Amino acid sequence: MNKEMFISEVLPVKNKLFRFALRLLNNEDDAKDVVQEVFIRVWNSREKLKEIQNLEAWCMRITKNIALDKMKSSYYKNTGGLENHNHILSSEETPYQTTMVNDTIINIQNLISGLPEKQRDVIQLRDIEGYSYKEICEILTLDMSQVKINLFRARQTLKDLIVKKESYGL
Amino acid sequence: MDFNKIEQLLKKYWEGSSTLEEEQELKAFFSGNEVPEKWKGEQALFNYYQQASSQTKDIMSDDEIISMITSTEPEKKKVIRLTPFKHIFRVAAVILVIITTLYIVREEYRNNETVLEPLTDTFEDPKEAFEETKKALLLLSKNLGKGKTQVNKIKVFNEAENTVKNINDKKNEQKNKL
Repeated sequence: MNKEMFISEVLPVKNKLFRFALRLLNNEDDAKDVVQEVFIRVWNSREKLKEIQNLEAWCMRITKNIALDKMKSSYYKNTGGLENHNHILSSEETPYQTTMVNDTIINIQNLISGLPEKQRDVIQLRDIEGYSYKEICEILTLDMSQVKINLFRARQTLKDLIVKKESYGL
Repeated sequence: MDFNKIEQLLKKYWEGSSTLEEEQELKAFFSGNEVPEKWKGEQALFNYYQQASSQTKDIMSDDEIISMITSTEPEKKKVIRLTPFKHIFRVAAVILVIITTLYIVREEYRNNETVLEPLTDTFEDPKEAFEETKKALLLLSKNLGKGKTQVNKIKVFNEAENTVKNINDKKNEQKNKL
């Protein structure tokens, strides 16, 4: 792989990698570090890239591995938390609307963050990033049935919570 | 918008049997304005998905990334370039060691050969040889005898010292008893 290929195929995934790392680590700075490390690793192993069929899924898998390494390392502390990434709101609404939207988004964000690890990862990859089952298998190194079961359970939990919230008038 | 179809798609979605296209359709529907009140929760969820998927962050500009990855490169190249030379030196060192050990071993072997040369006779006539040997042995015994007389003198001193020591010891014992 040369520089042009890197620019056209790896760099566009930048934000997906970042979001995935952020979902795993809950900390923006660490997620940034992880993404940088992914790029270095991809570039350094560019000779082997011909054998890889799905470059994007492969990059996501490296992101996951590096993020997990970071989590395991002793200096990593899960600080910062959720309040770091609430800036995804559009700014064209009135403050009242913004607060309303903000609340629901934080609620849903908290719901997803509260899911078990595998379910959370599957929801992130499927419903947010729109990956196919096969790609998710590749990224998370799970088999198809596990991916489907985790997705099903995650969606059930979300459904229960959303329906419950609605009935309480939230 | 066909609400029945959305209802079905939602059902499939919750069961986890919807396809990516169908999920895309749901996302498109819930981002529109004609969402009934009963699907408020679902709408929030799908809107969240969409917003989350467009969340970006200035991690690093593309140029910065390119310069970062290319700056890590030279180190690697150097290492690759050095390895063949390293091997040459290794091989040369091994050959040198082998040659020097071979040389040293051969030299040792040669030296030993010269030392172990067999003794040669110095006399033709056995009688003459016997006389010579006798002379040499006499000389040896004479000198040995000389040494013996000198050693006898030392023996006298030694005996005297021992007796003195014994007497002293006895005296000390008596003193201790008293």
